Amino acid sequence: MENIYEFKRKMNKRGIFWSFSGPVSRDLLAGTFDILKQKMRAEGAGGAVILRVFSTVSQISRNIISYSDEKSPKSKIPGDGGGLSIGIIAVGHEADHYFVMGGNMIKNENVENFCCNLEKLRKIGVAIAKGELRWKKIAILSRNHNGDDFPHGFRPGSGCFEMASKASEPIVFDFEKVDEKKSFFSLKLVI
Amino acid sequence: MENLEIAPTQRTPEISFDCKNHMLAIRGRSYPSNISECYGPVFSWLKKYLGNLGEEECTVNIELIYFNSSSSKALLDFFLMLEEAGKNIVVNWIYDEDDEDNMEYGEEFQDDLGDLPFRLIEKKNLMSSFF
Repeated sequence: MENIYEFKRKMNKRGIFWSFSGPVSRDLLAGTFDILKQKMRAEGAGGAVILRVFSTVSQISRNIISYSDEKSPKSKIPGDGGGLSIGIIAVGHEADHYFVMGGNMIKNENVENFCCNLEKLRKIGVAIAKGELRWKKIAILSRNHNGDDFPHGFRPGSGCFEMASKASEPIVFDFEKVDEKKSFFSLKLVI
Repeated sequence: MENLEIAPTQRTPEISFDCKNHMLAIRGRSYPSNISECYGPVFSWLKKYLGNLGEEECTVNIELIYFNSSSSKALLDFFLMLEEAGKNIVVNWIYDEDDEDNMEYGEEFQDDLGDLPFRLIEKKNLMSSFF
């Protein structure tokens, strides 16, 4: 019991007011929207900020579902599906800004590629913030898009791009080696 | 042909397509867990409607406060269908005055859909009506 209180105290100290750790599915989001909305509105946050925080939580959830290398056991009951992706998501407030953090296991062999792509995504986010690059949302979605608008030949998924463009500071990420097979990937976005 | 009315859920928008008055509306939030399940009936209905549409003016009101990237792809396909039909169709992209992101989305759809009349309409307190 002391441990869970200590865990809560640590989260409070870091400004975290909502978090989830465990198997992630898209169903997690429906209730989350209303919880974040209620909490943030009570603090005087505008609708646009609430939507930015929520869309970042939504994208991090999708990334966990797609890329986490840690899965819950598959159900033995036919039709139950299973093998849900495990990850952690947290939302907090510090220095007049909301932030969203996420993390999940990935294979060590993918760390270099992840790192390279995230570094490019970080640079794109900075360029957008400085007004040097316009976020061409529709161009990303267009079937005929040839990628010329994006430096470094990087063509992130529209959700990742949207996430980076909504951050008010460059994205921060880290990889911590867990063992010979896996590393823990962490990401933080300040809204 | 019958109207298409789909009630909103926490994750899906209200769909209100009135083929008699030629008023089509999509409102609310859009981040469905299954994009095809959500927008499949919309595209089927629209294809049939556009095939039957004559000289009448059709107004399409899009009033979404939140949509994810999969939904934006569906919206782009939806607008391309309207554009390719070459009929008398006007789209109103309605956004909250405080929602710059939504306005930018509208501007980019507007730029991309040169042959489809696409109006940006700012509305006060749109988000609060959904919040």
